[in-house]
Parts: sequence; C-alpha cells; structure tokens
Amino acid sequence: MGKRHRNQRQHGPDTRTRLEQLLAKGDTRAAVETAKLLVREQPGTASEELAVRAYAERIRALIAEGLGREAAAIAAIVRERYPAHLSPWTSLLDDARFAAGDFDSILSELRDASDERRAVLEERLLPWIVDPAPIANSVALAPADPLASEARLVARLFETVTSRIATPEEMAALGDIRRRSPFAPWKLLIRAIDAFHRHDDDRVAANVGAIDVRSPAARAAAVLTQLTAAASKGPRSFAAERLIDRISGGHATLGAQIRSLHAASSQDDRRRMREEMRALSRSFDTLPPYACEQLRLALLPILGIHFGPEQLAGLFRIGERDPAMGRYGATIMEVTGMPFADGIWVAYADGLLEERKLEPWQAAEIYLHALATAGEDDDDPFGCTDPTHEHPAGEQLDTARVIEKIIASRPAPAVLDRLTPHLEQLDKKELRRVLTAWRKADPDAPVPLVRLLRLAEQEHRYDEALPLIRQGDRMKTIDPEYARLRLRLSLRKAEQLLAAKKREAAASLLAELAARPEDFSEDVAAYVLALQWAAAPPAAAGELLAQLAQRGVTGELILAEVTGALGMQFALPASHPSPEELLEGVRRGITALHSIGVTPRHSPWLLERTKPHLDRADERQLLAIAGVALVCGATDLAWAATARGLELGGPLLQRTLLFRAEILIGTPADRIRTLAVIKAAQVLAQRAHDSDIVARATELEHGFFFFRRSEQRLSSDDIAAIVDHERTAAMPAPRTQPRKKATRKSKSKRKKERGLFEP
Amino acid sequence: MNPYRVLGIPEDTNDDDIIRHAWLEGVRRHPPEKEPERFARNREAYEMIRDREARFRLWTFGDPRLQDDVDALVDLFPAERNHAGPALWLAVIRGGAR
Repeated sequence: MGKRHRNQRQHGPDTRTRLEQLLAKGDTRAAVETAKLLVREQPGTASEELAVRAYAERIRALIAEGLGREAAAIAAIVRERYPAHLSPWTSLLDDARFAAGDFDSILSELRDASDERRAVLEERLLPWIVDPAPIANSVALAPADPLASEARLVARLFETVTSRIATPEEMAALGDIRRRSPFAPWKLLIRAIDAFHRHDDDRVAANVGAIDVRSPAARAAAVLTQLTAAASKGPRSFAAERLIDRISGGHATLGAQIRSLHAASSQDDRRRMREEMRALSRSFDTLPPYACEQLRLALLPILGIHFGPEQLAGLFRIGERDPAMGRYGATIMEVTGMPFADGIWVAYADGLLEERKLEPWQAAEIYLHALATAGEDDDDPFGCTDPTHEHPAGEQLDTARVIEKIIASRPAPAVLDRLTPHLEQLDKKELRRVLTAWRKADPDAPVPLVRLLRLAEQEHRYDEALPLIRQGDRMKTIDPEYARLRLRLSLRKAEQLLAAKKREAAASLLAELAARPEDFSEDVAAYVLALQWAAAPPAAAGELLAQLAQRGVTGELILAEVTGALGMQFALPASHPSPEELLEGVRRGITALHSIGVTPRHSPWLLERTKPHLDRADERQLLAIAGVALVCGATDLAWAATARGLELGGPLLQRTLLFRAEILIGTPADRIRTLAVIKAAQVLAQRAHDSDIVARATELEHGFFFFRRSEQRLSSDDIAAIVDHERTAAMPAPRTQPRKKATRKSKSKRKKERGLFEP
Repeated sequence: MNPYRVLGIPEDTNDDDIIRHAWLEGVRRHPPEKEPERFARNREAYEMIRDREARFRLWTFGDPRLQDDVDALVDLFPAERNHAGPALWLAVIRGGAR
C-alpha cells in the first residue's frame, strides 16, 4: 500500500475532496480553514483557484448573515493573496465592500458620471443601502449631489419617524426624492412607519406593498406587516423580535403565546400547554390588572380539563390558600359544564360572607349568578349530553333558600327584580314563602304582590287576596295583571259571600268594584251588575234587573249564569232579538265570562236558540258557541257550529278543528280519524303561532295510547282533505255506555274532558 | 374588549361618575350619527362597568364572550405602537429577515 493510500486511511478523504464536500454542504467556515490547508499541502494554481472559491462562498455567507465588515475583511485578504484568480469574483468582492458600508469607489464614480451611468451605479447601490448615514456622510460624493441630499433627508426623517410623530411639513420633504433613486424604497418605508404610528393601516399597507423587495428597507416592511396585519407569528430574526416587542409593549408576543396555548389545548398536548402557560404566567405581574384577570378566567377552564388543582395553582401562580381559588374552581366547573357549579358558587359566597371578606351586596350578586348557572344546568335536565352530569337527589340547588339569601343580603328593588325569572322553579309553598319575604323586604314591589294574588287565585284563597288588593290599590299599582287579578279575585270573593248568603258583605265588595268601571269592559260590567242584583235587597233589585234587561242577549246570558251558579230560580223574560243580535249577544256574553274566569254552563237553552241561525254566524261567534256547547254537553250544537266553522275556513280554522277533535273524543269515532284532526289543528296552529292551540293539541295527542311521535308533518293537501271530510261528515252516534276506563292515568282523562277555554 | 381601555380610563377606576364622564366624552367625540360602530363599542364598554355591581360581576365571573374565543382574548392585549428609535429598525434592516 502506497504512502498516499495510507494517509487516506488515516485521515479520511484527501484535503481537496474534503474541501469540495464542505463547499457542497455549505459549511463555508470549515471550507476556508481546509482551503488554507490545501494551499499549504498542495501549492499550485488549481489549489489556489479552489481556495478563492472557498473564500468567495464564505464572503457570500457572511453578507447573507449581515456581517458586512467581516465579509469585507476577507475580501481584502483574497485581493491581497490571490490577485491572479480574482476575475470571476470581482462583483462579489465589491459586494463585500458595499455590505460593509464602503461606497467610496462607486460614489467617486458618480461625481462625473453621465445620466445613464448614474442610473446604472445607483441601481447597483440599491440592494446595499442598509443605513443612509454612510452615504450622507461620505466625502467621496459632492455635497450638492442629489444622492447626497436624499441620503441626508432620509437619514434625518428616518430618525424622526422612528422616534416621534413627524409633522406634515417634515413628511412633505420626502417628495424631493426621485422615483428611481436607491432611496425611493426608504422614502416609502418612512411613510409606512409614519402611517403606522398614526394608526393608518391602509396607508401602511399601500406603502409597504410598493417597496422594492431588493432594497434592505423591505426587511423592515415585513416587520410592519406583521405588526399591522395581526398575522400569526411568522419567521423572525432576533432583531425583528426585539423591535416588535419594543413597539408593541410585549403584547404581540403575548398574543402569540395565547394562540399557541389554545392550539396546544386543542391538540391535547399537555407538555406544550405547560410550557406556554409558564411563559405566559411570567407576564402576569406586568400585565394590566383587568386584562390579566380576564386572561386567567378564560384560560383556567381550558387548562382545568387537563390539570389538577395543585398543578393549576402552580401554573397560574396562585397560592392554594388564596381566596380566589374558590372562585376559580367554581368558574372551571361552570364553564366546563360540570355539575354542582351553582352550589360551589353559593358555598363560596357563604364562606366569604361568614369571614366578612365579602360585602352582602357582593354575595347577592354571586347568589344571583348561581341561580343563573342553575338555570343553564336545567336546560339539560335529563343529562342527555353528558351521562355523568346528574344531580343526585337531595343535592340540587335549593333555589328558594338562595332567593331568601339574596333577599336578606340585598333587599334593593334593582336586585329583587332580577329574581323574577327564577320564581318559576319554585313549588307553591316555596313561592309563597319567598314572595312573603320579598314583600317584607320591599313592601312597594308590585311583582311579589301580583304573584301572591296569582297564587291566591290558583288556590282559591280569596280571603288572603283582599288585604293584598287593598294594599295594591293604595300603591296605585298599574300592572295590567294586577287589574285583571283584582277583578277576578273580587268577583270570586263576592260569589263566595253570596253563596254563603252574606249579601251585605258581597254588596259592599261589589260596590267597590263598580266604583272603578275603568277596570273592566261593558259586558263584564253586566256580570258585576248581575251579582249586585243577587246581593241587593228586593227594593233595589228591580232597578238593577231593568239595567240588565237593557243589555239584551248578553245580559240574559250573564244573568242566567249567575243565577245558575247561585242556585237561584230566576231568568229574564226571553228577548226577541234578530238572529244577528242573538249570535253577537251570545258571543259577547261568553267572551265576557271567559275573561273573568267563568265557564258558562247554565244557559244551554239560550245557546240552542242560535242553532237555526248558525249559517249567519261568523267564525268568532261559531267558536264561542261551539266551545260552550261542548262544555254544556250540547254536542249536536257543537258539531253543527264546527261544521259551519270548517265550511267558513278563516284564520281561526285551527281552533274550529280542535273543537271538532274534542267532540270526536267524546264519540265512538275512529281514533285514527280523531288523531288526524288533532294533528291538522296542531300544524295549522304552529303556522299561525297560536301557542294555546299547539299546547292543547299536543296534550290531546298524548292522550292516545297508540300515539307515536312522527317526524312526518301533514302537508297542506292532507289538511285540506281532513277539513273537507270533517265539514260534511255526520256526527257519530253518541256513546250510550260510559267509555271504558282508559289505561292512562285519570289526570289525562280529566284534561281531555276540559273545555278549551276553561281555566 | 377591555372596557377601561375603550373608555380611556385606568383599570382601577371605581367611581361611577368618572366612568360616566368618560362615556359622555366618548359620545361627544364619536357621536352615533357619525361613527355608529365606535359609538356602539363605547356604549357596550360603558354598560360593562357602569356601576359597582356590573364591575363586580365582570371581575368575579369574567367576560363570558372571552370563553372559547381566542381572537377576543388576544384583543384584550392590543399591541401598542411605541416609537422604538432608529437603532432597532436599522438592526432589522442590516440583519436580514431571518
């Protein structure tokens, strides 16, 4: 084996090969060292040429890294050592000089250059101007040279716009810079920076977009783009990072960290989340307090899914004994949809209140929030979305207790008014307790007064209602529901007194009512009049009866209902109205009775008088007659009224159809037919946004044991066919035997028997 | 949205009158007929912190709009536009893009 081969085995490939490999790899630093070795080991032209190539690549790399001075130093060495091999690299060696800010050679040439030559030289300068100062201060250039003037102007204005807002006069001077000058990109950069500080991002984009990308000024333009476009973090040099951080006050970096944390969370990357959170939390001390707290509250639930309480406390730099931990815990549970968040909020407020770390009004706010959270929780009462999301029995939030805590903590109207939506969740006993406490805390509040009156009506506690009505009158309550309840409860109490033969008390109460005629309609006044007649001594009764008789059919019907309800054997002499007067009088009477919560049951004979005239009745009259006829058991009349109603059609067709269904339920009609009628009524009611009918139809529909919810809706043609059939169909013979007891509970049977407008 | 920043008041402001004054000043500067969007933003900010109860709710329970909305969260920290001086700019121009 020869010496050469022995050497190769000992040291790997020979120096030339190694140098070529290094150049191919781009390792220019090692390549220069190897080139020096090569020239020493194998002197000669070939080695020198390869060495110069290595130096040239090193110069190119240094220029690319922005190390112009270093590149120029190496270029000087090459010129000195290898003058015979420079010809391929002349331009690169010049570049190295320019990169170091040494423009003297080119600037000297500009002194006497023709316009064409000047254009070429200035074009050559364009990529190398990284600072206008060397050209502005160069002695090689005549002071009056346009390039020198432009350099001085750019240097001055660049310093200005990066340090303060420039005046319009200062900026106007930029107009002197020639369009083809190597400083033209700098002019645009200066304008863009100025626009940036004036928050005129459109002008920033316009100027940045026009900058020649060969100019180093374009590097600064890229920073401006990142600062204004709120773009995600792109590749940046260390210098660009420092510049962006200084300009944005560190917030640009913060934004990127928040986005990165979110991305890590969505990828379930716990390690990265921990790293990003640690980086973020280092900023917490320097952030403005509001933004910092909102950041914590928004990030805690995100990280709460992945980390335990101790880890969270560490990541967020919160002491475990910090009172805020309870709040953060409740926030995590609430936002992540865990059960019992409402209870945690209440416990948190209770604890701090006991330790006197919370003022009562603050506790009231937290309790209200807990109620709202519980409301959200109830959106999914069966835990359909999350099988683990269930309130075990006895662990549900005690809404009544929480409301009482709120009333006790802050009995201010502004707070108590916010309780109203939560009252629906209480049973009657709790509601009475809570409303009483509310009234005690705020005696002038109309809401608890009206709610208590509503409860009194539901539970027939008329004696309790009267003192509330007296107080409501003193408060001059203007709530329309108060006026409605006041009337109905007073009438119910008067009826109760009359039934108990306490005529004087009833008369007194009715006199109070009659003194406020603005509270009710003319037809309802007839009802008051009828009760007054019933309560009046015989001497006064005649006058009252005469007044009632003047009200025609309406008065006749209302008196019949009053006497019927009180078990009195009396009726006005039959009037002889025209068919139109009869139909309208009946309708008005029925409407008035419904409005005060009375279901007519004692005047079927009067309704029967309408039967021959149904073909003259309008839709509303037919509906009124059909409804009462159904309740009174006058099925034939109800059938005839609905048949006429179906013939007329009209905007209340869904109501007529539902009456027809109610009649069919009481007959041995085909149950599939009945269900079809109910469904038709339901669809029409949905289209007409008639919620009462939708609810009633749904209730009837569920009464069918074979009912199955079908996604298929009836089409308009289907409904038209059903209406057409019902319009002409004869009524099935009424049941002679009582219906077989339904397999469903008696509750649903009772509901089915109820009339549409019955309370 | 940072309501304090929108109204141009310090974040520790706890005086209803100061907040109201800032809101009215905002209305004067950005009247609804000229700048409806800016006016709406000011109004929203004012409603968020107008009284101690609203402020307490905001600070205790957080702004619900920030949950699951990264952009809204990042917007809490709008980048400032400080003047950095020429040296840092020149460092970028000299150093190249990377």
